[in-house]
Amino acid sequence: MDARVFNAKTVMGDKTMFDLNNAINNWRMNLSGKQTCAKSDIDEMESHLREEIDSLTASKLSEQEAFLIATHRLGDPDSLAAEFAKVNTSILWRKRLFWILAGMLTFIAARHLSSLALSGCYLLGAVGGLLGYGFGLVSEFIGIAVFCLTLFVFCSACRPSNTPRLDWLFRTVRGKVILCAAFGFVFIANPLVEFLSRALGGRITDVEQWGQIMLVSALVRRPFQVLLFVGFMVLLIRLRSSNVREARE
Amino acid sequence: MNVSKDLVAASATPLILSILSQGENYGYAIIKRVRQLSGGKMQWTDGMLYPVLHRLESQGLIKSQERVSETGRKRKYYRIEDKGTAVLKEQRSQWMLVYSTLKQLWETKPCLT
Repeated sequence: MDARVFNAKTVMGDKTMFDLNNAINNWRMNLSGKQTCAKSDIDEMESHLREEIDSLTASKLSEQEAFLIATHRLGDPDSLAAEFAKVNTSILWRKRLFWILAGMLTFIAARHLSSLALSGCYLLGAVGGLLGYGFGLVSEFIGIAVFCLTLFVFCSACRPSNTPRLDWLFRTVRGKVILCAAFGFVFIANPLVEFLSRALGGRITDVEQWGQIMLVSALVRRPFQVLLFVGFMVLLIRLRSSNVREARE
Repeated sequence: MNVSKDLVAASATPLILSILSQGENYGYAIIKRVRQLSGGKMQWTDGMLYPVLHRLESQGLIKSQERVSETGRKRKYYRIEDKGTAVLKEQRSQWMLVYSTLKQLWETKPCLT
């Protein structure tokens, strides 16, 4: 009987236990998400936070209470980030430049991936004898889908709060290695497959069918490029309004 | 009575430089010292100290060094540089001037005739 009561208590205790390191980690994540504090700034403030918590728990407060008071005394992350932004202008620009370059690289990778998918389709079609208008249309859409999917994965990776959590791709070493390997693979595979599809396609099928595919490709790609432009504009406007919303909250 | 925000912000630099002129120190202890000297009436938002420290460092008034404290915790210690001592001297005479001006105004009774 006693053992069961004790057991229940430990189970309850585990569930409601306040994990200080976890709380501090969340606090760190929140600050580093603001993009203006360097890691060393956050380290320094964490050390401050821990000393304050130590001194508060020494005066008989619980860890959770001490954490709440200490973070409150340290100041809210938004105004801290704003203060640091005045000092760390170079960090802010470095991060902005990083995202601009990351976006450009992703765009290039998306184009390469989409053309790889397209060439793959042509290659399969040429080998399997599936050619003509319909086939051209299907492969074009597959290419576009791959392009959009790459951009979507990138966007998910950028936003740590998104439901499909892909931010580890940028944050962990493993993620970075996978990204680099993927880039390398795409850059090497793309010209190879394209060359094969052209070489095999020309040899196996007749010129007229190739012409049909190219015609469809040209007809579909132009409207898609216009749509892409419109999509980017919409995205920019959406991002602006979401920033305003976050700032208000 | 708490000191107004503007005054707290204006006095941050001379306070930090004065504390550091008494020997090297780290952020948490600087804040504790200010709190203790002012009887808890100068309320700094603790985190705001660090951007000020970093600005003073980039201006070459103070210098930081990361060390492990006796409790095994990593701390960033700041100490004052020669340039900082010069700036402190300048600021000190400015603050003394403000103080003596106000003091004269508040101590002499206004003459209405």
